[in-house]
Amino acid sequence: MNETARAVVLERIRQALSRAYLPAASRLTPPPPSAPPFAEPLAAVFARALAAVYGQLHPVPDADAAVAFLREAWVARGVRQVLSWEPACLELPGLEPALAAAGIVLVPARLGGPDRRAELNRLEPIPVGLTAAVAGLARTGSIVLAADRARGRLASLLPPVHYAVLRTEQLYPDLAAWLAAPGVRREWARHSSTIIVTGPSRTADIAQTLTLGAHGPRELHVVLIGPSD
Amino acid sequence: MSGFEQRAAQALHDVGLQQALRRTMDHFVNGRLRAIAALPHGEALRDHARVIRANTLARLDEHWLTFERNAQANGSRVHWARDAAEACDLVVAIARERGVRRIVKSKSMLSEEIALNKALEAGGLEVLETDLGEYIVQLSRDHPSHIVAPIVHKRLEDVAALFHEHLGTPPTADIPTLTAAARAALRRSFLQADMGITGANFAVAETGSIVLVTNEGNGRFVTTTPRIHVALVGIERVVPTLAEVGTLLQLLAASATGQPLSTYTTFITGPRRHPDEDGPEEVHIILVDNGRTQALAGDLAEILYCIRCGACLNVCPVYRNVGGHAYGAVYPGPIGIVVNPALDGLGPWHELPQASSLCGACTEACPVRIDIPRMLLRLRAASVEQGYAAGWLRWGLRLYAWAAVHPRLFRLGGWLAARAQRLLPGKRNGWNLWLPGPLAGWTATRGFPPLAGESFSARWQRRRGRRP
Repeated sequence: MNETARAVVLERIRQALSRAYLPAASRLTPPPPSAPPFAEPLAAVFARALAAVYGQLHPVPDADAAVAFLREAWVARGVRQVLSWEPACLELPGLEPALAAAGIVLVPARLGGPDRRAELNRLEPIPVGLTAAVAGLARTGSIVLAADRARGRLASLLPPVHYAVLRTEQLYPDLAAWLAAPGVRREWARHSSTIIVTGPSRTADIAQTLTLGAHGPRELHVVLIGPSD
Repeated sequence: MSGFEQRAAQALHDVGLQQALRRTMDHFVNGRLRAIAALPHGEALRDHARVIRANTLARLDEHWLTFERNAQANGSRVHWARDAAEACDLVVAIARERGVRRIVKSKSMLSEEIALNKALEAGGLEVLETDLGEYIVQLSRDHPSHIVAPIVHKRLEDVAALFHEHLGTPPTADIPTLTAAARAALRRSFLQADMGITGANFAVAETGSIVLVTNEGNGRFVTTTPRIHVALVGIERVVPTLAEVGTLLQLLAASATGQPLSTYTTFITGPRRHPDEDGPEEVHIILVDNGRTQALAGDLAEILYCIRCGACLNVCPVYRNVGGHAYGAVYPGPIGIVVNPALDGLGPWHELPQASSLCGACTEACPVRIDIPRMLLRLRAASVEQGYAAGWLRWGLRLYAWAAVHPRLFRLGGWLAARAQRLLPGKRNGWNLWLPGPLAGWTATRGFPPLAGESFSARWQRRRGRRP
């Protein structure tokens, strides 16, 4: 590190602050205005918000139904390989054998070998990715993903279709409520990345016309596990 | 005519640009209004965000020290750069020392500000922009004309012709075909790149994370597939806590593109923690001053509250008519006409603060309610003090000031001007369509209201005399 540059910039900041006019500055930052609670169940709010950002929702009552749903969906698409988080992180017992019986294998989203490019090229043709959200944000229809050795970023990025499993008890009203939840701040540094996904990849750069699937997945499927109410 | 006036005149006669601006500006404005209205307590949230930005800047040095400590604990390397040249040299050195050849970039206005691509190319490095709009800018050797929608000045047919030439798509290709062609071309580059370069929408002090907001997902690729990630962060971008960045992220997405949240909000908290995890092996964070401390020292510090949403561009009557290129600066629109002179001094940018009617639409649209007209008046005053104003303006104002404190002279002047205007050629409904000398600028595009034959004070005297 260039110690001179660091010292100079810090000193410049301190000098500037003695002359800075900062309207609205106060001694303490007050708490943000709190959002009123939703009148309806969070799952219903989430469903509407996800649809508004072009995501697709698949409600299922329990983990077994989720496994059956994924197997059928992928068989129908002719999928043979799925780029996935570690099965242990998915909490879908019986997923691997059920898929194996249909000739589908889970490929871990990892990059550890000596030839990074070769590995990426090997993973690139896999048609579907599978993750399990660590939280869902009802108001915005977002899912929260974490990244670590068992939770590869590529699973939600490289394939053109992304399936994410979410449980109704993981739903929070909104981003602010999730960020304030106990444990979020404490666990934060365990993950090299935290990604909030709100709908499939999109662009509107050309003539301000919305197009899905710019660089990331063009389809986002959320399998929501929980009792329907 | 000055540079800005010349470019603005050209822009006003550019049919393609006018079509593009007409179609897109209202689309952005309506999207923002709907999204802000959908936020619970949207207006109170804006007030709150303004306080967050003010209070953060008030302790800027402390927040960066906290950020630096936490980022280093996460395994990121933190560098500091005093100016553009130092920032560019750092990136080139990091690339060279690690044998980097191919670089992919996601959209970063700071990298435009420091002309990073030029420095990388001069250093023998291959650099590719991966945001679709920026990719098109790079292919056509153009400049972005909007801080959120870089090619808002281009029509579909312009892009189709460009892709036909470079990517072999049919000359009449539709938008999904063009997007798919760019996706395929850039996908290959993502998998081959050695280094990814990004900006940062925010840096979170309490976690040492940087935050990137993208819709396309290119920002995620750039920070996942290459083995090295370099993030350029302007020193106004820090936010103390996760809770505070949550507030700003909602307002940014709503104000920039009318979304509840952007598609991908990515927090990067260091390099991969394990040798077979799929993130980058190294994360370098470069904190760039480049004039920001100069902006902080004084009346223009408020411009650093900006979260770069572009909402002020979309509502500005000047931007909506002339587009971004007329400004001749990296940052166009209301934010640009303050931030460019705030960072670099008035020297190169003394014309820009004039490119406003002071209508205040920018402040009304700004998610953190930055008072841009106030700072424009400061800059205009400074440009007179520093001798940038036209000579006639200086003595004209002196003459006016002298007359204004001599009531008899003032009355005589008013009486003379009202009589003299009768001699002017060109009238419609009594309005003057031509004024002489430096005043001709006003009547070049609009009429000037007639001066009343009777002054206000004369009229006041007369009416008061009639009162019982």
